[in-house]
Amino acid sequence: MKVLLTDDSTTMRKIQKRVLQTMGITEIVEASDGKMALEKLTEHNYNFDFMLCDINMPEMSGIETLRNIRSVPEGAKLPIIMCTSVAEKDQVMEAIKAGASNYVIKPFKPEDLQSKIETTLQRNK
Amino acid sequence: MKSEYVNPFVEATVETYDTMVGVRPQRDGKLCRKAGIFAAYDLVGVLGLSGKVCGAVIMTTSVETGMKVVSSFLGEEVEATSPDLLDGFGELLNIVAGSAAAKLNGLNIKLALPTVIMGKEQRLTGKENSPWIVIPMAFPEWGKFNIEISMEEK
Repeated sequence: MKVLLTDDSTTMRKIQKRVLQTMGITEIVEASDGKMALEKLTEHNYNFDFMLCDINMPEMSGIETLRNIRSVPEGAKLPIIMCTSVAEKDQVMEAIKAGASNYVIKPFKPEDLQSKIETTLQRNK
Repeated sequence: MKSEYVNPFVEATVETYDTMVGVRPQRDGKLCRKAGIFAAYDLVGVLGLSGKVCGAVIMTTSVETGMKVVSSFLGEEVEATSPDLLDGFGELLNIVAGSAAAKLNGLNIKLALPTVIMGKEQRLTGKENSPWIVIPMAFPEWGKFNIEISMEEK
């Protein structure tokens, strides 16, 4: 399984990466902002099983990134889980409208993130 | 700043550390108001708040305590010279501020990106008409830290 992990915090990426690794996922591509995420998607021909994406990021926000991905045929069906702090709940709704597959709210326990990933993948089978 | 803004930040701090770091910090002394120039610990995270408010929240602690906190958050040892110390401390502040802002719904608080500064003898300034409310807190075994808020409704 191959995952695109997008968050401007290197610490948060490391924490999420550990959760993915405990799920047996080892092919993890990282991006530190939306622009880099779009570059990685193009570079890998959108060949990812799912994407984890922070909302509050510099350069290009998670929602703008999501809209860019959904605007191209290759990105239409990619499962995307948005990750955000609870203040941005209205942004979560905006993200869902923009095509997010699911969301996880910080603070979260590793098992919460794992559960969201499993639910999302189950739904997108 | 209204006193009812304080508890959401305390609750958010406890919940964030409990969930993401596995430690429950506690209040450690009385609130105080600070204006003019005052001292902070050596590790200072600042995050601007906007929306229907104008202000910022600060989380500050010693480098030693910060290293223990971020090491536990990250699940690996973090040195004082590691960029992970600043990044992890900023991410924890981001989560605390986000969680507090959600508890203060109605104020439609938007978060800026956190900035973290490290160095000895940090000094902060506050205006007389918009002072900082300092909430002293402590981790059971790791040491003291402060949450400091300056926030006015527009």
